Amino acid sequence: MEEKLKRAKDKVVHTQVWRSIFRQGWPTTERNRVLTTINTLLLHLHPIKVKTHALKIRYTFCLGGATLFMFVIETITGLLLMYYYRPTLEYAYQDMKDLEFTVTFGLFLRNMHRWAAHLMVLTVILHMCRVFYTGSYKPPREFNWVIGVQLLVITLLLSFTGYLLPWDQLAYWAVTVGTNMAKATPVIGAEGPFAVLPANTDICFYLRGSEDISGNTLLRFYVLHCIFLPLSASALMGVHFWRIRKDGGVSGPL
Amino acid sequence: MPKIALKGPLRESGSDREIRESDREKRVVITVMDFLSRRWLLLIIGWAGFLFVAGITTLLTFIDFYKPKVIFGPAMRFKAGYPEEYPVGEVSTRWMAEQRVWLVRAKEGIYAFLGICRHLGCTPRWVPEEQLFKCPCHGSNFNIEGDVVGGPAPRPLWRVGVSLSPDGQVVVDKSVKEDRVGVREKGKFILPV
Amino acid sequence: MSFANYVWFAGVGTALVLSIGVLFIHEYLRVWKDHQAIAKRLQLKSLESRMDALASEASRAEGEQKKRLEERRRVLSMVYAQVKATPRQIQQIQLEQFKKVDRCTTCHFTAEDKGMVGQPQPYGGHPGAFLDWHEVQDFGCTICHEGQGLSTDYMQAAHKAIRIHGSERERPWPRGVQTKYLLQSSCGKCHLTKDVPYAPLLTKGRGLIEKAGCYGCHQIRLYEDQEKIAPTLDRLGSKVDRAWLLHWLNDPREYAPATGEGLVRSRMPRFDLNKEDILCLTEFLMSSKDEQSLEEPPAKGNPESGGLLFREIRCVTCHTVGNKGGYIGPELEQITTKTSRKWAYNWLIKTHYFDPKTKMPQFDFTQEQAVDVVDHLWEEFGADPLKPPEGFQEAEEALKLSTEERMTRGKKLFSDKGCAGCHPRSGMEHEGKTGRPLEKFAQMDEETLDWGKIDRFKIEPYVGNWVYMRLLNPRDLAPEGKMPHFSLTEAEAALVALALLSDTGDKIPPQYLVEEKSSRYPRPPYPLPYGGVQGVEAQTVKEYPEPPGEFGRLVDRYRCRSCHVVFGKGGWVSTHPLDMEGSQVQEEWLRHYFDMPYSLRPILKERMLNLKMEPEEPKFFTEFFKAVSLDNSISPTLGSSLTVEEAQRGKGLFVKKGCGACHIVGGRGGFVGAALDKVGDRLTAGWTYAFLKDPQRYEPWAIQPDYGLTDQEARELTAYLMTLKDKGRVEKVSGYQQGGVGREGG
Repeated sequence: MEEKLKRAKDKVVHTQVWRSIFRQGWPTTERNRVLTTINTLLLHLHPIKVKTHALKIRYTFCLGGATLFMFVIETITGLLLMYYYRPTLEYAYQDMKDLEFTVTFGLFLRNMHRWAAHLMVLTVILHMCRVFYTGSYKPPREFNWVIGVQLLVITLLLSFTGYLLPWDQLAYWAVTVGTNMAKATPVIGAEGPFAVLPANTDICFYLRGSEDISGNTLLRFYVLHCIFLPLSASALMGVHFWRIRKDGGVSGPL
Repeated sequence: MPKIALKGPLRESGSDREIRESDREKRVVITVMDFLSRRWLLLIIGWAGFLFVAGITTLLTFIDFYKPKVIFGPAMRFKAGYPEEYPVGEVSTRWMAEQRVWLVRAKEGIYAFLGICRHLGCTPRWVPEEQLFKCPCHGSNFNIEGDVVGGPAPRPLWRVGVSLSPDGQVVVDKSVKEDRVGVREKGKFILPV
Repeated sequence: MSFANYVWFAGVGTALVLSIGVLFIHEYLRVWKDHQAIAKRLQLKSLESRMDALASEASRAEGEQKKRLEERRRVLSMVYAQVKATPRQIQQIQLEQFKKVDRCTTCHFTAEDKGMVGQPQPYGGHPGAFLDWHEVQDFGCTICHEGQGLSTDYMQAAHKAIRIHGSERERPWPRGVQTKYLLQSSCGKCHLTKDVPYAPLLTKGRGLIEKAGCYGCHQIRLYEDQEKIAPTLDRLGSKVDRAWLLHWLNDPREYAPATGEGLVRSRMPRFDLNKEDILCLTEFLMSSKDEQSLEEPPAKGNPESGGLLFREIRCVTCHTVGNKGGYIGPELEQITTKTSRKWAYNWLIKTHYFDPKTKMPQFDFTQEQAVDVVDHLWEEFGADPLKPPEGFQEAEEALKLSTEERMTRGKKLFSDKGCAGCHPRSGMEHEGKTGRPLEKFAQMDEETLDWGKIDRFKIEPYVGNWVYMRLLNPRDLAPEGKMPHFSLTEAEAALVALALLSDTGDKIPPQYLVEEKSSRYPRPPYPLPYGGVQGVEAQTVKEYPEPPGEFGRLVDRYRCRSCHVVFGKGGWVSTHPLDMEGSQVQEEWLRHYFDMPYSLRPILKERMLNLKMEPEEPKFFTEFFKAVSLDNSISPTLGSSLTVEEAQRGKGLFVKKGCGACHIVGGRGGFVGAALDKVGDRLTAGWTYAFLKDPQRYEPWAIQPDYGLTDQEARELTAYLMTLKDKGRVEKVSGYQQGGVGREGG
């Protein structure tokens, strides 16, 4: 029996297809285990060595990981929502209602996207609190703190740009108020201190793409929300995680 | 779970073949049979079952999500006025521009054609003098029955569903199509008036 | 792993599985699916029973009838198959024009089936014939009913107000589903006419806005270019008694005690003025005098002949006397306390000089006749002069203001209170719009309205409620506001609110709009001589031209348009527009009618006045009508072709069709239609024939049913009617020549 199984196994394992995918044998030996770790993408991302304190959940509460998890949920649900959403004046609101009433699990996706967004802001803030209270921003991690702050800003911008997309009264007026604040920016805002630009070329105008909230605003918020900001966040997250590894792994008591 | 004992040093270098050769030399601490122990087997079956169910559900749900539940654009069903508005023996081009449908009233009743040439999908036009639907693209000709009488078209014109609404108007339903002789003259494809 | 961890793992796992289960149930068992299934089952059942009924009826019937019933049953069976084959799915109506999608028919699956009327909602058919006029494909549901058409969920479709958590209060959706009562306000989105067919509440509400003159102070849609409703205040000092004016400003209802509840008389609202304000305003108003134009009346008239004239002219058609009479002119019973004998005399002589916009005709009185009428009034209704109202004497003494100061303050009050909105006064023509513009009223945000002292937890903070309460008691909401008190009943206030709510500010595609012309005359082209015939294409009533030349002068002088439509414009006191007069009536009859007008329908209250024209004027009117006010679709020569035999058969037909139920002939018959004695003298044969063939073509408001007469039947009836003549009168008319049975003038 054992022989037969072994021969059958060998027959599969010794094919070229198998060998082109799996470069080494079963991780039954120490050598193969190392090779598996090095040759597999997901295992490769994991640090080779993990400090024992990193396993203690109550030190970090895995808040950074939770944030990443939220970001993944946002990406998946957001991608699915994009199937049924058109960022134009005529269709935006209707498509949002269509998602609620006609698309299978559309309401669930929309709600999930929304709640995960709220949670993401929350976890980001808690993560920063944790980093602050454990003093994890101190050298050599001060650069990663800066990256983290940028990620916070991007998270908030993602929330803000996503706010406009349902194109209902709440969205419209919330973004009207939000973008109006930009007018008070010093120098580049039309109504701020040291204003040098007229109302039709100031920062608020560039944000909106028009004097008031319009189809232009909707489109550029959509592009920011779906492409520009997520890509920036991904890039910064890459740097963020890389720096964690380079600065000695998940932070723990020094 | 099988205990894994780490024994013996790793060989420094070598080709793939050498690595496999060296594996054979070393004592195998975990055999294939270890994975086939009752405990492992149950675990593997359990997880595989779970992943299978979850995967199938996700897939089906995604397919359902992917299928549009409402179609926008010109409605597939539309009301085309009362039967009396269509004189016997005439082809009405009234709904051609809007719905791409000809309504024909023969002695047996009203039927409707989809204005799509079965060759490569151009829009034929009705020529009353010749009693033919003529396609401008490659010269396919169809008679008033929809059958091909010339040109490259391989199949007759599609007939679509016709019925009556509760208020007595003709309803054309473009979501059902038929071109088989013997089937297309019956049931929902003709409205006896 | 410790045991606790296993428990955690099992608990969280179970919760996750359960919530996914709930998610699937929630997603796939949506309520609309049940509704649609039930609706379909009910509809199939109802169709079956209808088919059975038809089948059993057909088995009893014979011949043509049987064939028809079987045909109907066959159609129903096709509908049955259609319904049965419809898959369960979201139903939607797309409205490209409105950029709307309505999914109401997903649950209200059977709305279009008239056989389902009366079933419990949401399975009922749409009641009434409204869907016949408004094809569902073109109108959808939410244009009339409002609500969230995209929704397939009861609450999300905004059927009901949301109950605010933890309170008794309900918050209405901004554009939630209309209640049955307010539904008619939706008609007003497209129907931009003052009366809307089959929407009595809206029509009444719009009528009330017009009657109360809301547009004097407020900008209101449909009432942009209205005449001011109240009389001019120029020369008021010469017209009215000062004490009367004090009474009037203090409380207008006191002078003209209510002849009924609601907005009847007087229409002047009560302003919250204190005594000092009233004294100052009186000072300002009385300062406008015109003593030079007033002539001294002859010392003594003859009240008896004045009374005779008063009755002959039928002054009570417009003026109220002792709670009887019309409502067009002011009440006359208290005229002696209101104005002076001198003014009344001058008013009758130079009516249009003193008020160019009045609805009263300029009668052609001699000085004697005028003073006779005035003295008749003074003898009949004479009373002691009024004293100023209580407390005004003291207030006047206490008021330490010079005349000039009073004038200034009075003028300011006049402007501030918006008096000029209703009363024309020279130099203040463009003043008066002091109120908040009410355009796009339904869009107003409740939060921006002033709710004053009202406990907002007791009522729905809804813009309709706001205007309702404000109309009933303006001071509840705005203690310092300008809005005066109107004497509206609760029902009337609600109707005004309904009419105002019809202005939603929605963008309606032009082909959906119904404007003035097409509503009164729903079958364009309306056969106006100035509409279709002479090539002047008037799209709305506003564009109709003024009557030209001498005719125009006379129409203005006799104020024909106060009651009749002339050249497409005018009042509807009479339901008889004069634009086809020449084709409708005979020349001789018309000439004599001006001498001694009578009412054609005994039940009408308003009657044609005896205008006491100068001798050549009836002739001019007659000639003008006969030459110009014609309709080319009415044959002018039909009468001469009618025969005596036809007339005899027509008599039988008259009895057979039961015409006598509504029309009087020979002293017997009903009171609904016009009396037909002497109709052969009055109407032309061509008009009679055309009217019998299709009554609503020329007069869409006519209640005469369309009997579907054949051409021959209509000819016969016409021939009979043309024989109904006043034998005595015919002899009186000189130069009359018999031609056939009927007779044509002109």
